[in-house]
Amino acid sequence: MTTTNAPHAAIAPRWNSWAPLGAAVLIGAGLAVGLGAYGRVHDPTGETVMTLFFEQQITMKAWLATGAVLSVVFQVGSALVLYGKVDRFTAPSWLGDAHRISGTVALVLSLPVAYHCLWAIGFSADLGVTRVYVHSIAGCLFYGAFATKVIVVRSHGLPALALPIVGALVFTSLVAVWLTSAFWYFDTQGLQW
Amino acid sequence: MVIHRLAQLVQLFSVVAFAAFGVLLFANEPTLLSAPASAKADTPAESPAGQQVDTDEAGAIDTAEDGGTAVAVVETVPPIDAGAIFADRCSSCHGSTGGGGVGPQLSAGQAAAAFPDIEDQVTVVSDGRGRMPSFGNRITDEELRAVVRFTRTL
Repeated sequence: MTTTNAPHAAIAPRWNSWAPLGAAVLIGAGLAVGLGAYGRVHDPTGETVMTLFFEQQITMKAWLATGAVLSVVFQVGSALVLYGKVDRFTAPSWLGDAHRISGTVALVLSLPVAYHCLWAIGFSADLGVTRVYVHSIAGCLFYGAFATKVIVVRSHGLPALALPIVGALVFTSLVAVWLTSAFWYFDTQGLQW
Repeated sequence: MVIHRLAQLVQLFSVVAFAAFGVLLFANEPTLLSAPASAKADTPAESPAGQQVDTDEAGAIDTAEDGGTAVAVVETVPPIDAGAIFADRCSSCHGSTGGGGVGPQLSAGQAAAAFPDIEDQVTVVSDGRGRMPSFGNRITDEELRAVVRFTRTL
């Protein structure tokens, strides 16, 4: 009876790949908790810093959040094409850059929204208003997941599932933010500028 | 490639924007009143010595050199736009039409129902309650009362 020596790397725990992932998750979690703590501790100002070209702060937030969601929808679609998950589509050479731009645009569009949410309104932990509570949690989670994804996407040798899971968390959290804010607003108030 | 350069520029901008976001969270102080507007209105306005100061019907200041002391300036107070104040200060929580959001609904008589005595509502808006910020030191008393009256008409 003969035995073969299996490569140790194939069966040993790959701590070298999990440790950077853990660090990325910790950094993201720290950011999310930090934003939530800020929103909870900071005395809400109730002020409007900017409305850009919209009539009110709330409409600015609703439309910018909608733009951010559309950007991450493109992110998911382009990622599926880039990783060959969509039959009949081959990724054009520019798609990688377009994917990066869309993710960055989502972040930039979200910043004025988050700023007004945190600085002017604050983190709501009122369980009696489920929509606002979920919105507060998802908003902080989005930035934590985004930070984690930025680190993961630039790291090498991480577990293969790390990027799709973190990417899905970014997408899910932002969609949750949008559903509990912009969608709710347009649904109850109608489309306004 | 152009799109590659564009991606780099957008990412650089996002870093700057995120840094500004973080700084402004801590550095941007709310606008506070230094003194109540009513006190300002009661204070006689000063004018340079040797100038007589008058106002015309539109409130514009006319001056004339006559060697005498200045007379009081009649200050024309612009009308308070309660709707604009509501849009700026209240709508992010209470909705653009007062339908509610983070804060409770004010429209359809809900404000008056919650505060049968308008002074109770003035107190809450002025001093704050729970997660609602206090506006007593951010807008004038006249503006505060105007916006409270406005909420009772939504």
